[in-house]
Amino acid sequence: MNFQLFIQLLLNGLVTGSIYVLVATGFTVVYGIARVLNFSHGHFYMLGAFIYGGLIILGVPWGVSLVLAGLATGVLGLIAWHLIFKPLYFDTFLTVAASIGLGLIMIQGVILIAGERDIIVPSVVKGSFTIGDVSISFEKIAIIAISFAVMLALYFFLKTKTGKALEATTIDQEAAALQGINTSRMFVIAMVLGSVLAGIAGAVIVPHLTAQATMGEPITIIFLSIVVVAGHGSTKGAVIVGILFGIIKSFGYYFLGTMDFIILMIVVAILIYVKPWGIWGVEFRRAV
Amino acid sequence: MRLSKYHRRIALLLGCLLVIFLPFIFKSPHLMHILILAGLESIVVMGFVAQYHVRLISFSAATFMGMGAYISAILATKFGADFWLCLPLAGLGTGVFSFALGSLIIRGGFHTFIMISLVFSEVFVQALGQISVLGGWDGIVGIPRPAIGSFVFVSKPAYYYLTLGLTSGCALVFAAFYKSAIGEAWTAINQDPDLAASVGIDLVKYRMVAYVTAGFTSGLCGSLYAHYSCYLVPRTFGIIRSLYVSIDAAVGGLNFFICGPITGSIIMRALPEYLRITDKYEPIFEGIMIILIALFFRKGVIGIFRKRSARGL
Repeated sequence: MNFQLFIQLLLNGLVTGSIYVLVATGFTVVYGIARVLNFSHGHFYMLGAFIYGGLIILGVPWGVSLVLAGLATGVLGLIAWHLIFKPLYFDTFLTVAASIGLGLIMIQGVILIAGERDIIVPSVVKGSFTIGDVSISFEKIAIIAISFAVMLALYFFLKTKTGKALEATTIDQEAAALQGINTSRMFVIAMVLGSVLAGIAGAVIVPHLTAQATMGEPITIIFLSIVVVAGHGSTKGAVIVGILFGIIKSFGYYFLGTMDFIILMIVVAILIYVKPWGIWGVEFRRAV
Repeated sequence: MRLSKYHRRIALLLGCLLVIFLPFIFKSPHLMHILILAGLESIVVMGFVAQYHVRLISFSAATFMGMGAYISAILATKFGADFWLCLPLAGLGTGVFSFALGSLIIRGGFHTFIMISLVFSEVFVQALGQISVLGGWDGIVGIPRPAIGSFVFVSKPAYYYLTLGLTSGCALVFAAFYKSAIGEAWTAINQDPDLAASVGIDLVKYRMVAYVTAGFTSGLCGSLYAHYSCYLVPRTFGIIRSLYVSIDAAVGGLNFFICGPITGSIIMRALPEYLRITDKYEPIFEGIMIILIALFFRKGVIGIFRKRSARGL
């Protein structure tokens, strides 16, 4: 393998990985703070992609489209929270089943509105540059840069007072409530934050792929395994494992074709066998 | 609805007679088809409810069913094995598979289990599709029908009785488990896992028993499914089937271990058919159904008629 190919594969891995990071972080924020397993999270990613794609095709500038896609998925997350997750908060099974049901409704809804065929979203950032004999497109750089900026914004948000309250809620809900933190408000913030991250991830990646109604399904599998391998509610773990998975998938796809998914899952199985509670996870003493 | 013991027995007897002579009363093959599918699905749903009883929310149902179906189909088409040999081997094979999978995922705790069972059900489908020896994405065709001597099971009533036998057999297995000491331990785990662990009940062990039992029975069910439909495609055993299984369980009522799954599967197989909901809209129907059930009928259909019984069967 020559150097040029290596750089290309690494770059592709970083692009995929940064999207994984955004989606997995969104899920892990909701899961860590509200302890809600939102299995429709991957479909929020799909919705983000469709909203962004629709706006771009209508001729809205890309920055506005990106913000609107994020806002729209955030509002949908808020609605979903009040309609489904809050009333069912007491029962994990009902939450999980209802969130998968919500996902099915979202897929069918998008199929009814946008049709079943794939939608190609034109890329806004065009052109490429070369370093030595390695050609790098601006689009990939833009995807990585936007993801990085969003993650940086999340990092600084977690440093504010609200962010500290979110972190306290992650560690111990009851203790946080005793300190005067309004935990149910934190849950709402977490849900909106998670949905916005998923929506932005979808919007960022969609020019690179095509918009499909079922694009949320494969990524659901990926982000669930990232969250489990990284450990429950660990944002740092989600970032590292997400990028790692992206790189493994990129190299796996080049060398093994469509078997890359199986290879990735064998890695996941080994990691879970060695670390049942995740790499950065804390073993919950509670048996539930 | 309170009935005296005498009346209950009469009702039970009449019910059994109805179930046994149903093919002679209603001759519609369409109804038979729905009942066969519902009967097969109810076995898997019983497994789901057993796992739910030990506080494991599992999305492995379709994986187990697919494992059983594929073992059976491969044995029958590649090695020419008889259905009566395929059936137990599919059950055993799926039992071993569920033990292996269970030892990987049960230790990680409640939430990990949910997520990873979902992940591995997709991995299973992908693996079936990618490996060309197993038929790839096109699946396996030409699975022979079961036969006793020269009598071949072709007609719907014949399959109906076969399904009835298998479903009652599996129901008896589960009933025996619930009545045994293992069942007592399961109930203890259901009521409070922490407390159960503190009095020396090995959570992982008893959860594993429930998981492997579900695997074994679902394997049997999958084998019969393969020999009923005569062709298999990997996509049949995707996440969505597991989700339907859990919806059936919720519709029937999660506190009723045998009646709940049977009622739930019959309702959820029959409703879309008779409401003329096509395959295209079935996911949206199921999605709305589960949200309604979750929000308004948490005790399920049986729970409307019956308060929680002592045994819950």
